[in-house]
Amino acid sequence: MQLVAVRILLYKKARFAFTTLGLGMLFLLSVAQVGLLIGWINTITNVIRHTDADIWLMSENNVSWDYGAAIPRHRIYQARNVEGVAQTEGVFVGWSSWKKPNGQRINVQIIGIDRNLVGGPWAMREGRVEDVFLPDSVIVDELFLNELGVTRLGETFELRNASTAKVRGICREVRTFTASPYVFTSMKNAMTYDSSFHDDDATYVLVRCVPGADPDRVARAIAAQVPGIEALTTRAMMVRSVVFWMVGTGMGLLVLTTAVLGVVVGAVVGGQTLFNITQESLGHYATLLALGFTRRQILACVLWQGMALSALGVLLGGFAFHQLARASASTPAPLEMTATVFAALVAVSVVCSLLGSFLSVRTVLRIDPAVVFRV
Amino acid sequence: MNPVLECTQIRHTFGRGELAEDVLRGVSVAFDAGETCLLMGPSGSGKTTLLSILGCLLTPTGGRLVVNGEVVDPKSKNRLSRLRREKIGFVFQHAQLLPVLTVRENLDVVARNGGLSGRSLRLRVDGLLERLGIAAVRAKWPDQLSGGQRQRAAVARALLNRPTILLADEPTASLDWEHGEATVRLLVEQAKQEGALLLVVTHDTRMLPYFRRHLHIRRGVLHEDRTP
Repeated sequence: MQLVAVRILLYKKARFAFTTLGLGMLFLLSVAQVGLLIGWINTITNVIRHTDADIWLMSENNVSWDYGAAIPRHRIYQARNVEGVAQTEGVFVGWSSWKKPNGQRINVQIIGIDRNLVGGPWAMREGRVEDVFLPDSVIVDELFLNELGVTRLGETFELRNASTAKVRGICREVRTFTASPYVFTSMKNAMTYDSSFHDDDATYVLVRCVPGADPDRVARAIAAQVPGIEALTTRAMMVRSVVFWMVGTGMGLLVLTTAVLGVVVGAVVGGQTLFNITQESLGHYATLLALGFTRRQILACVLWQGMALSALGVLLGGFAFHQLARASASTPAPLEMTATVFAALVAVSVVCSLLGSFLSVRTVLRIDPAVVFRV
Repeated sequence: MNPVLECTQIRHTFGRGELAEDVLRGVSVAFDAGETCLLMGPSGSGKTTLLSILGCLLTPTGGRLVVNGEVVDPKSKNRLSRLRREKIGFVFQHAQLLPVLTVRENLDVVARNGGLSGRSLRLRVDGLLERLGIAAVRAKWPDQLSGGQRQRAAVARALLNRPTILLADEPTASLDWEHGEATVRLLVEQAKQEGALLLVVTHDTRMLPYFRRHLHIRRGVLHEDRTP
């Protein structure tokens, strides 16, 4: 029967080609939206993940990693005295404006790091991370060289308050979600680039726990003993930032809605095509029933066609996504995917296709084999 | 000899209430293996309905049907499918080969469904294609065949699983008499060769000489002429 199923599917080649192409595009739409979402989430949490810290201390009511307010720098030392804490270090996150050689100014996000380099870039293309401790030195990412007007190491730029920044290094993989490029520097330099902070301020205190300590428990202990701060585990910090950007702004909901629409429209298109094919094949199915084929065999044939259309759509859409993801890997907004999420999308797509086959199944269940004598 | 196909007091009504129409009014008839029978009657007389019931395609409103000694239970759809697959061969008015398959594939899928496979399938299909003179067109699509070739392929398909009953509905209606006569000869010859009952429904009186037994149906009642 599989031969019959395949041949019926391929009987009108143009319809088959357009349906497969349509299903492929719809699956691509869904998977690309989810890929975009995953890419955004990875971008939002990029720096947080790479700090390798266990706990983040910050001002109360902090909404996102990008918008931290000042806390006294001596919280670093206060937190260090809490049981379960192995190491603490301050990080500065602020904003400044960068003047390009053509006079244009763009907003940049300043990350000031301390002696242990926690919160600094994790992959360097040129230069060394330690060079940020030289006076007026910064590291920028290769993705934003054009945007910042940087052509080579050693160039000097003007930031807010007429302060200068000499590019000492170029890092990789540090994307920004806010569209303002990250500029890494030392905490000391950072204070001059963003004058809203004072010398004895920090934005975050990053904590590493002693081996075996439970970060949740240590975070609660810090919050109880260190005044005026909120303590979040790194995971909670990532969730908070992602929720702020994806839920608070509605962007996540928007892309998810488009992804769901892609799956649903794919099911409708696949179901409609399958229904048309089934309707056109009713005479053939009636003949097969008359010749002794069972209704179950005919149903299997129809469901196989539904699955085949869906599988081809997934293959086509998956391949197109793979190519798009590769092409976007070196852009500020990459499409990313995990095996589990992709498998889930395929499963949802196949289930929706099966649901889309419902009308066809109902039609098959109603075929009267006696019509073969009335044709 | 036990009849290969027997029906007793078969009644069938289409519609309900005031619209109800009695198409068959207590038809009883028995057929032996190897018989050749012609069922004739005007349009709307109930001959196709009777053929559908005898072929286990339609459940009668009342009466009893026995196929190869097995009382047909209309509730068991799988048993009906099995009976059609194993005991009954059909030849339809327009051949009704699947247009998406070649002649050979049309036969293959039916043979495979009948339990044949490998060498035995190949031998049976090739044998029938040769016997019916359509071996040369085995790789062609149905729409590339003449009407006569299509009917030959349909006869081959009907004979594949060695049915004991061969039912044909107006098998010559879409052919000119030259090809129609050839198809009738072929059906009678092949049914005899396989030892199967052949029951053909037709309007065409030119077929009468080829069949030993003639049945007439009028207003749902069956009459019989026996040719000596």
